[in-house]
Parts: sequence; C-alpha cells; structure tokens
Amino acid sequence: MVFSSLIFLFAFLTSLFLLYYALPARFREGRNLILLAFSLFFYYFGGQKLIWLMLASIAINYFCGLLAGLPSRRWLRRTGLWLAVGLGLGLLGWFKYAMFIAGSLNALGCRLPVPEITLPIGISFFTFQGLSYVIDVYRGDAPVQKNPLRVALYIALFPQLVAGPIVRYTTVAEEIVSRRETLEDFSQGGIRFLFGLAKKMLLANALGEIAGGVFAQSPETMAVSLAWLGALAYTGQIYFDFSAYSDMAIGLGRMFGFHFLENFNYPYISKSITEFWRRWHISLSSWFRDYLYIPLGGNRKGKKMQLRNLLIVWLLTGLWHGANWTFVAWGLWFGLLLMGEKFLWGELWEKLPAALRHLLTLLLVTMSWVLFRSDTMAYALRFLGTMFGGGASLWDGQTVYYLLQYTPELCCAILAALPIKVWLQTQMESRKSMLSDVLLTWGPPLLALVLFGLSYLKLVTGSFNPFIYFQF
Amino acid sequence: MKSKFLAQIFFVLAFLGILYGGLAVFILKPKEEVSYYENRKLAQKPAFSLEALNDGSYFDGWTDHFSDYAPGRNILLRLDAKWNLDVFRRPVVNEVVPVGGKLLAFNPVEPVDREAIADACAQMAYQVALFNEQVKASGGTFLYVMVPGQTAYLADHYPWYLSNRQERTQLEREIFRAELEKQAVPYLDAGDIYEALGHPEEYYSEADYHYTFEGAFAVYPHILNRVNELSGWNVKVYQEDEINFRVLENPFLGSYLRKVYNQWDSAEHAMIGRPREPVPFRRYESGEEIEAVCFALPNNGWQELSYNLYMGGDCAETVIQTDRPELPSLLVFGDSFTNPMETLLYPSFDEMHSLDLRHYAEKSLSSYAAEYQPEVVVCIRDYEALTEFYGNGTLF
Repeated sequence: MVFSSLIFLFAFLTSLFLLYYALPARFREGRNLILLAFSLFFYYFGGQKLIWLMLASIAINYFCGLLAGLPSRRWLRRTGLWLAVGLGLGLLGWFKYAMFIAGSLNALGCRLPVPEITLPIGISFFTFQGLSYVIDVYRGDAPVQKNPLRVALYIALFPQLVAGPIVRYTTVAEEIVSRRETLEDFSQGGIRFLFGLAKKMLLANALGEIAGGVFAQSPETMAVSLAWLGALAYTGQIYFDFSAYSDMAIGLGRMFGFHFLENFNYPYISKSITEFWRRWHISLSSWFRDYLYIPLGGNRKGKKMQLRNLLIVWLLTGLWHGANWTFVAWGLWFGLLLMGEKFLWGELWEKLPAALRHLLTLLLVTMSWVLFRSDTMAYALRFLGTMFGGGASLWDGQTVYYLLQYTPELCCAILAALPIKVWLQTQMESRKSMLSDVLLTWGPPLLALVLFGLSYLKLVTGSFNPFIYFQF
Repeated sequence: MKSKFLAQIFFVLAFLGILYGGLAVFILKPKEEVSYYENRKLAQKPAFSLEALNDGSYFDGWTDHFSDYAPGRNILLRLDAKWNLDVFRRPVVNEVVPVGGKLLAFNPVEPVDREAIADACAQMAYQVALFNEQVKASGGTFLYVMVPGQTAYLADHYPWYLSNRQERTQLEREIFRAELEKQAVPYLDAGDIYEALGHPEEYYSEADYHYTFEGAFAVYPHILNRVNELSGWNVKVYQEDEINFRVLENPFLGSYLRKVYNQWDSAEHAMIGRPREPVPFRRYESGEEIEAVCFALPNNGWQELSYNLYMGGDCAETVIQTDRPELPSLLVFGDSFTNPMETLLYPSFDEMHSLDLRHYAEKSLSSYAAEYQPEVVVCIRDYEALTEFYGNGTLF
C-alpha cells in the first residue's frame, strides 16, 4: 500500500484515525497496540508472506537489545550487539544481495546457483532502524526497552516503515512511551502530509514520465538535448519522490504524536558535494556517519585511514541503495568527489563564484543520477556519452514534446526545489503586519487543501504511481 | 492565537471531512459496473480466499476497486481531459493528439530497424502466400487489401515534434508490397486509390482510427473489380447512384473522442449507405440467428454513435445469407476496417462470412477456410497491422 493511493486515504487512514482516537489518551499502550496492528497490516498488505521477516527482525532486535543492555556482563552485551549486526545484516544480505553476488561471481567464471529471491519491501530501512536501536542500547545512548510491543512499534511504525526516513530509536524512544497528540501536531502533520502527497502526485510522477520515457530508449538514438532532459527530469523525480515520501512520513508521524527528524533540506541549492550530502537523505548519511564512519576511526587516524573509511562508507552507501554495479559506482562516485573536495580541490572550489559552484554541483549530482537510474553500467556510460555530445543529434522533436507536454510541472518543479517557501515565511514573519499574520496562519492549511484537491484529481485520473524508494 | 486555533480546527475538520465524506460516498453510492467512456468493466469487490490473501491478489483487487469507484471519478476524468485540452493545451492528452481540428493517435518514438522490418514483412508475406495457395487450391480467389489507418492518412497533420510513424509505415508498406509481389499474392493498396482521388480529408474520421463510410466506399468498387478480374466472376459492383446514402444526425463518438471523455468539440457525423434496391438477408452471429441488420442504428437523434454502428462492431464470426446460390460466397477477415466494408460487400454475394480472429478462437483461419471453401476471400488490414503476427495476423 502506498500513501498516494485511494485505499490508503479512504480506508486505512480513516479506520486508523477512528480506532486510535476513539481510545482515550490515557490508554497509551492501547493506542500503541492499535498503531502496531495497523503497521503490521500495512506491511502485510504489500508483502504478504514476507511479514515473517518483519516479525523476525523485531524479535532479533528485541532479544539482542535485551542482551546489549545488560548492565554488568560486557561479553553478553557484545554478543547481543554482534548477534543483531550478524543476523540483521545476514538477512539483508540474503534477501537483497544473494542474487547479485551469485550473478557477479558467475560472471567471473564460477558456477553458483542463482537463487530466486523476492526483495522484501523496505528491508534496508527497517534493518538499519533495528540496528540503530541495539547499537544505541549497547553504547548506553538509549535505555533498553523491555516491552516487546514497544520495540515492535518502533521498528514497524508504518509512516517510515518502507521508505524511511531512518528514525533513530533515541528520537522516538520517549514518544513511544509517553507522547501527547495535540490539535496543533495533528493539523501541522496533516498539512505536511498533503504537501508531500502533492509533491508526489503533481511533480514526481510527471517528471517520472519524462525520465521513464527517455531512459527506456537507446542512448545512441537520442539527441543530446533529450538525454539532458531525461537526466534532469530524473534528478527532479528522485528528489520530489523521495522527499515527498519523507514529508508524508513526517506528517503522518506527527498526526500520531511522533516527531521525526528532517530528511531533506533543499539539496539542489548546494554549492558542493559535501553540502549536498548534508541536505540529502540526512537520516541515511548520519546513520553511516555515526554507526560506521566514526567507529571505523573517521578522520582521527590519519589521512590514509580516513580515505579508507570514506571509501568503505560510500561503497556501502551505494550498495545499500541496490544490488547492482550501477549503485556501487554511484556510491564510489560520491566517495571520490568527497575525497577530492576534502583533499584536492576543496580550497580552489571555495574560490569559485557561488553560481558556478552551484551549477557544477548540480551537474555532478545529475551525472550521479544517470548511474543510479541506469540498469547497467554500459547503459550509464553510453547515456553519459550522449549527454556530452555523442548523441544522434543536438536537438530533436521528443525534447520539444516533453518540454511542451510538461511545461506546468517543469516550472513548478524548479520553483519547488528552491527554498521559496522558507524565504516567504521569513519575510512575512519579519513584517509583523496583519496581512502577513493572516497569510501565515491561513495560507498553509488552505494551500494544503487546494493541493489535496489537485492530488486527488491526479490520484483518480493517473495510473503512473510507483514510489522509487520502495525498491531499497 | 485564536486565529491560529481556528485555522487548525478548520483544517482538521476539512481534512477529516474530505476523508470520511469520500469514504461515505464510496460506500453508499450506487455502483455502475461499466465505464462508458473507458469502454471497460470496472473492478468489482474481490472475492476472498486464503490463496488470494496470500498471493496479494485480494489486496490488489481492493486497490483496483477503490480506484475505479473513487468518489467523483467520472466528473474528474472529464475535468482532467478538459483542463489538459483547453487550459494547459498539452500536445498529447490521454494518448491522443488534438491538432488541426483532428484527434490523432499518439505514437511513442521507436527506432526504425530496416532489417527487422524486412524480416517481418517477408515472414508475413510468406504466411499470406501459403494461405493464398490454400484458397487457390480449393478453387477460390484471395485478395489482400491494405488500407491506411488514420495515423498514416493524416500523417501531415502531426506537429513536427511528434512521431507520425511515417518512416516506418512507408518502409513497411513498400517492403510488404514487394514481398507480396514476389510471392505472387494479389493485393490492393487503398493508399494508391486515395492518392489518385486527391486524398480527400473526409475519407478518414476526425476522431477515430478508421476510415469513414465515404472512405470505405471509395475503395469498395476497386475491391470487387479486382475480385472479378482475378476470379472470372462478375459480381455486381454498386455505383454511387445505386446506394441511398444517409448522414445520421447523432453525434459520432470516435474512439479518440472517447479517450478524451468527449471534452473536445467535434461536429462529426457518421454516414451509412444501403442499396436502393434492398437485398434481403438473414444474419447469424457465432451460430445464432439475430436481427437482419448491418447498421446498429439508435432509436433517437441524440444518442452518441461509435464505430460499432457498422455491423454492430467487432464480432468473432458473422454470417450473412442472401440466398442467391448463383452468386459466389465470400469470406472476409480483418480488424474493424472490415465492418463498414462488409455492409457494402454482402449484397453482391450469396453468403458472406466474416471473421475477426482477435475474437474468434474456435479454429484457425486456415481450418475455417478449408471447411467452408469460400469462392472469394478478402483480407483487410491497415498499414500499422501489416506485420502483426497476432489476432488477424495469425492465419494458421
């Protein structure tokens, strides 16, 4: 079930609101139980038999958490930690990477059987969430949770279950036990959810149609203009798609009293790759920083070790996104760019005009999305070749068609990728006039409802509706 | 502070009102089973079974059911089409290209692979030649008629930046004709006839893939003349003054107009024609005798008409008997282009069998022809279907 579906809005959400809020707030465990039951149903709806994997993940992290949280027995705590890491990553490895590894080894001449495995939705997200709980308990950053239902709710909580953001246990530990649902949170959460829904339905899907149309073609037959349009459209699609999901997740969480951390912060205004990764998929990059890069030594053990650590982190970041060499290359691409910024051209980069830094960053990021979107490395390289002059022509009719067909969406996408909303809000807040007060108070809810109407129109009329991040 | 509280209350009530209101409409509203404009059955509530639950089809069924019965769906589909046609003026709306007073098909760009096309043409021509030999061996005459679809006929209407398939169509047409000639299969290319007549626009619908009745009538005498020439028969070829033509006042809902939910201004009307001297007949559809009509006429002047007007649309097997054993029998097969042509052809034959192999599954065309032994066989295919090996392209 996706958030941008009629069954989610009209059946799932309405039933959940009804049951959840029918129970008085003092029955916290009852409300948690309802939320957990709906979360498990949400997963079962999309994954059916693979629900056992979710339950197994909950059980592993619960018991390992208990061990990792034992106050005096260090070896038991370590056992708990490594069991969680081994079992969690083992399941992730089997379900996500077994086919890839066997296929890659076979390409080198081995004769391994390639298993047919269905990728459980959201496995990368809930595995990382589970690990963050056990690691935080082991480190003493979070108290051990003895109530298995609370651990289950943390891991299975439906808003962020299948496509993030990766919520740290420390972020919601207290709220699981004693949160307060308020009118303000519910309305702010609803507004955020509807903004996310609109991003997905009105922008991401339209850009996805352009990208899908372009990336389905052979790069050799494409015009240079078309390849660029396809790459830029995908650059927009992945941002609006993924950040829309995060908006909806954060909004839904807030409607039930949870406050998740932000996952995106206008990444396409970045002026360097380092800045880009501070603004893009914040929950993932901070997870890798805190649970891998720093434990490996970070930048504390000399330049050589730092380079090694960066390489490991970015190789795994790439692999986390998918079991394909294109994702490995995508991760390494960013790893190399970040190393370059740190050790080679960082100082020179800072001296360039801001507009040029911004453009170059956007160019490097766009190129990375070509790797990310391509099915094979060969395709990605051919596509990049077309972008940089190797196309059948410079300009073609298809480019014109896509530009004319999606003019409104492309214009809105450019505006929505810029922090115009933040700027407007700051301007109005500083004015302190009656008009700005009215606009600040009534603008967001009214705009959210208008966007809901438009999103509903698209939900009803559109058939193109897949979420990209479900595959991870 | 109070204003903020009011805004929050307003939003929450509006948001929940929409959600629960929508759910109430979904539950309470009577449910039609068919979507008229989409020309399809709507997804009904799925039947529960453990198997369906486990394989996910039960939930998929509910998802489809909710989508198909979304509150306000029909109005919104029309609004969306109108909006895209008139406000955003998109070059393509619901896979239809509204341009120059026409609604044309949107053609995704596909590379033209000359070698693959040549290969497909040769294979198809070989099949057609085998069938031609079979018909000839049983004393019959076969004629392959290729006709342009609306895309090919109105190719010049497309804006330069959209594909009109012209390169591919031309190539397929040329190679296929050459292959038919090589295999000595008699054929007729309606494109040549239309060119010779000055390529009149009214021969093709402004909002449908097919030729109009006028377009069919322009090719009709050439088909029968060619059949007479090939077979030695001398079947009657009706002239213009022997037919009562009538333009129907009902609005004509072409398939592309249907795709944009009739939100595009169209003044198109369908034409029919009957011999001035009626030829009585009996009609059977898949073995069952039905009313002896070949035009599905409405009872009033306002009901929308579709291409189903001709012969009642695509039927698996239609038989028309005029009980004049001195005349030959005819077997016609092909897609919807056969329908208006059949209304013109049957009066010249003792019996006409019509097959649409997209729907007819009882036996192969070859077996059918072997059993029926028709004296004349006419295949009508449009340019885009010349190398389609499924449906009416499966002869054996």
